Amino acid sequence: MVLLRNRKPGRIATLEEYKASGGYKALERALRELSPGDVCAMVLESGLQGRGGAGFPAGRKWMGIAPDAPKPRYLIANADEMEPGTFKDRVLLHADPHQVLEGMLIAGYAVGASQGIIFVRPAYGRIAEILEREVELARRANLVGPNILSSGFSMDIKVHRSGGRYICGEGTAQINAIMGLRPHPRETPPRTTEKGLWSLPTLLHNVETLACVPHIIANGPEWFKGLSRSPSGSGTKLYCVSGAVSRPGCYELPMGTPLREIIYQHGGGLRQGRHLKACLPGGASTRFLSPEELDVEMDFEGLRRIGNRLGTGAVIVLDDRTCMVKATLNLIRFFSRESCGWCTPCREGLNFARELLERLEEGSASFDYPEILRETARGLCNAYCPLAPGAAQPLESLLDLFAEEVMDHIKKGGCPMKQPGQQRG
Amino acid sequence: MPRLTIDGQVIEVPPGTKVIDAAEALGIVIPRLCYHPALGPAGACRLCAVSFLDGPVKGVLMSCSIEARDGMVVSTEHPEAVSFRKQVIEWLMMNHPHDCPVCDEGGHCLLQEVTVASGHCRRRYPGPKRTFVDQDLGPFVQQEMNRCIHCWRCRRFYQDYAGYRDFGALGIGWRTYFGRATSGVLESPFSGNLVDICPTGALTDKPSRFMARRWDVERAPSLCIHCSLGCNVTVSAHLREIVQVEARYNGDVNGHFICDRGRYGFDYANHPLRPRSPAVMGEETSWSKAIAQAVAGIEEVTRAHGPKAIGVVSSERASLEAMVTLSLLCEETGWEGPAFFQDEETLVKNRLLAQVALSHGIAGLREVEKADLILIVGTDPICEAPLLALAIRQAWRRGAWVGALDPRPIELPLTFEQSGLWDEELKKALLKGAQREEGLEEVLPGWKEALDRSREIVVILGPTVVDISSLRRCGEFVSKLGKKARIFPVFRGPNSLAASALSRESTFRSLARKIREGKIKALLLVEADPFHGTKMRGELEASIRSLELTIVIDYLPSEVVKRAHILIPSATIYEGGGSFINQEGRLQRASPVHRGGIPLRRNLQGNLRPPRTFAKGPPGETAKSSWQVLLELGERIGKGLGIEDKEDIWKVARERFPFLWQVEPGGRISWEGGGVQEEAMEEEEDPSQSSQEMRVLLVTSTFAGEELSQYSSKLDPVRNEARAFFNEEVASQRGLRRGDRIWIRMGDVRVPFSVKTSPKVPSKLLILDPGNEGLWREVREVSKTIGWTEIERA
Repeated sequence: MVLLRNRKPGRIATLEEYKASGGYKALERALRELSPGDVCAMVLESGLQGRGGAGFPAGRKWMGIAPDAPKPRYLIANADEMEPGTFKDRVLLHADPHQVLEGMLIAGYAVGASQGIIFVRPAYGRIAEILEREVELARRANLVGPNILSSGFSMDIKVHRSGGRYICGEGTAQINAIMGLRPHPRETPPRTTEKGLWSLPTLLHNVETLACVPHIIANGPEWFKGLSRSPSGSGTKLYCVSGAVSRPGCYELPMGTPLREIIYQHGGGLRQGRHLKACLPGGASTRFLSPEELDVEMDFEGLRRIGNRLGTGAVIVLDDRTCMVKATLNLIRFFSRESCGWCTPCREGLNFARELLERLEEGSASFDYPEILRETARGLCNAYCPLAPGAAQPLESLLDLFAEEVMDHIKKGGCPMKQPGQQRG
Repeated sequence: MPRLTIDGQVIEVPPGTKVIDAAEALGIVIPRLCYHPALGPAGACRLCAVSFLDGPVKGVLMSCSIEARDGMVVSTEHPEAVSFRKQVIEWLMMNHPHDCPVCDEGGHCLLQEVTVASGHCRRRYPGPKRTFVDQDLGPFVQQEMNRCIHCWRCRRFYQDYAGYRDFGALGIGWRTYFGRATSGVLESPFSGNLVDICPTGALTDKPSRFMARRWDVERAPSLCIHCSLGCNVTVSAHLREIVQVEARYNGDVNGHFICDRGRYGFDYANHPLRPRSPAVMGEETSWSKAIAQAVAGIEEVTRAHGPKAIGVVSSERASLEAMVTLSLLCEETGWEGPAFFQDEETLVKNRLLAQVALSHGIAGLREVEKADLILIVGTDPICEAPLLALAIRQAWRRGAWVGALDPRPIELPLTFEQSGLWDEELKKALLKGAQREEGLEEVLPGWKEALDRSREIVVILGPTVVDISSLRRCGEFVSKLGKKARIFPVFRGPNSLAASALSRESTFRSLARKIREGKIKALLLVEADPFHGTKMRGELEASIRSLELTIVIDYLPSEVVKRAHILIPSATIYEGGGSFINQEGRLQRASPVHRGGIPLRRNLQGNLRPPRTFAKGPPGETAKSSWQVLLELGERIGKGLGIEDKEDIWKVARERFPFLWQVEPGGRISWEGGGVQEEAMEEEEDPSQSSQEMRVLLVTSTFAGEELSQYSSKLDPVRNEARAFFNEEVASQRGLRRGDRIWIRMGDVRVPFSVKTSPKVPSKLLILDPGNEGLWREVREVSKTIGWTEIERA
């Protein structure tokens, strides 16, 4: 265990405890021994990929901020965790907030940022309080603020409470939100590393990504790479297992751990007498996985190979008593509600899909619905930002993998799972 | 220069061109809803999707967001792109109500157009249509949110382009709502553009609501004559009534937008009291009798007192045709005039401003938008030339620095420096500016830095609050700035520049003097109302009363019309058209929109219709353009000008006034100013220097004070109350606070004002904006100074 090594039931690891476990050593090392370029190079070499869902190599993102780029520069830690099934950031910040702060400081040092912002989901109000308190403690310990550890490097950290919308988790939308604008995503280029917050270079990372950074600096990129079980991955990953399993929870496992192991060994398998019907491997914006694909290595490359995405690594397990139409409807309702309203496919298309799925589920659908749904899903992929294409993933895989179940809904005039005599789990 | 292929045609476009524009250059119009040339790409509607088959990007992508690059192969007709575009239409029509028959946008609706083009006709969406509760957005814009297709144009215009915050997007997802936090009048004086910019019927024109179907109106390209900018408009008339004015694109002048004064000021043409038939001594009469009376009157006065006993007055709102005809007629007859300006000072200021601007390189709205340093001297853009404020904002959005020297508390939708200077202080500041580069830094912090990095400077200069020597000083100051500086003159009227160029020495004041001296016995007023904005009402009334003959040719129910011995109605720009020279010297022509006549009342009751008499034309349409009337008068008194029609006027004018007419319409005139007497006008001593009194500065506001729009009932709901601006400190010493009501005594009239305070107002100045205060018209003389004894709390 790397990221959750200081995890304790019911409370956070204090600054002292974090320091005792070797915390802030990496920061000290970076500030005293390494140049910003060295830090960037180490992170690039470690193969660290963004944990927020896209899996973009962190080092390459850092290199996107040129040494002569304008200042001040900003660093944003994205703790606006709202992807359905995902709760790793909450666990991580509740376990060891200083780990994220140290990651931010090192990253800030590497890219020359003078202001760090932690963007916290409003439902995580307690975390915001903890972070504010711990930032203050770190400031008193000369770990945050001016002239950190007498190194000449200065960086402040602020906690920003989000207004609370799924779209605020998207990087460019988040930056707009911090600036007090409507949280609309913006098209890139220019990337946020060139023009981000207040049009200045901004590095934006998921908090899990930043939590990995101190360990890379402390133990070296090779060590970090070696943590992974698969050759294409690196480090460990916080997998969130939820749904029809015996032991749902957040598990820190080597990157590339096979899905079967995550569900059956760590998640405790399905509940008594149930069978796996499908699962979402990385939150709501990924395709449904069929039981045949369970041996996939859970890293970015592994899932890409089978046409899926690791996303946030949130495994949502669905058992044989789950109606797939209803499950999809549930997801589409979420996406339709959370659309920012900017572009037509997302705003109208998702609503269209929702209406159709609702009628499928109630039993007033007609035979052309699957075709219309498929067209809609295809059209969603031409949206402005990744929200609607993400929403299209479960919808498309419903039609691919569970076409028969969908047809059953039409033929039987409603959800077959709801037939008399059969109970919902 | 990127070369790309669109639908098999190769085109080379300047770097940075979007694919949608490159296609348009080839004549391929890719459907779009959210994209607007002035607002830039948004990528919101997704309707401009095309297939990129080869090149740096591939797949179905939005042509509005992608810049043309070398080697792109684009297909607008690829089945994938076409089917996606159809899908977008289907999505948009999911919730769009099919209320086209009662929708005012019907017939010129972009959504209707693209929907028909897409062939969308079958509804597959099974759900209920989304509905919203509408808001009352004030007198101009009718909201119908159910029709909204969420293209975001309104919000992008209102907040980003125009810079006002009270209207925007609320809520998210499919419930996104475009409106205000609560119902209320839109704060922006550019709100009417929302109507033009909305691609469907979500925001429509409230004053013309349900008045006409689009295909039934008479439309023609026209000009806005409510300030000196000369914005291009399209005017719609229906059943003898002007119903709507819309912005007409002219890249050299107004771009895509106009202000609300220009959009809703047209109603003077429909005024119920508008003179519709000739009248002699207040009695309606026939056209021929009125002319005969006028001729007889003129001949009688000429016989008794000579031609110099006839004074001729026109104004800055008269068309160039009228001005030219009048000038020629005066030359031919020896009449006194024509006077286009109120007094000598105004005339000299206008000529000087024209001369200073023309000799330093005159700037128009486009130059303002491109400038990186803008200095406003003695102009309140929102009040005097509203669209100028939008142009300044566009420059500011690109990083321009904006500073203002004006005693009024100017409001602009942008951040700028202002110093409330006036008179001597202003002169001193300009002198310092002319002497040293950093001279203005003292009064406008940031000036020096802005000047150092500036490449294109525009100095906006108006003649209303700046005196003659300051205007001249400003010219010197701009010379000092060098070639990168231009002057943007703001005149009062739509044809002020032409009036300056055609003016001789006569002004209305000089004619009035001659009336008092008994030298002038008759007055011919052509589209002029000396009572408008006068400070000397008492004197004016006496002068007019003492005349033997007053002939008025006008279309406004003005005060001087009521006092006319002989009244001959003239046609407005909507019926007669006309040429005007705007503030940058651009000659522009307006086409006639309709024949005119008394508007039909359409309230389904029938009893307000005009009487059913048999006539050759519709009732009330006898009005002719003033130049036609003048020609007829000239003919009848034996001073024919040999002019038959407009073409003849232009031919004659080209010979006689080459500086005005050597350009084709749309071009800038080549006049270089001139005719300004070198010796400065005698400057009046500052009377407030020695006393406790405050000097009075009379100003106008956006919707009150401009002559034509004063008569437009459409603007009544937004006209401001009378306001008195005090220096904040001075006011507080006297116990006055913002919003207090006061009376100011002027002669035997007490006029109510609402107190406004600002630290920018100089302490010895009282700025009065009469707004729509009716009592103001009773004031016989506006004093130059006002003491505190004349001010009392209401």
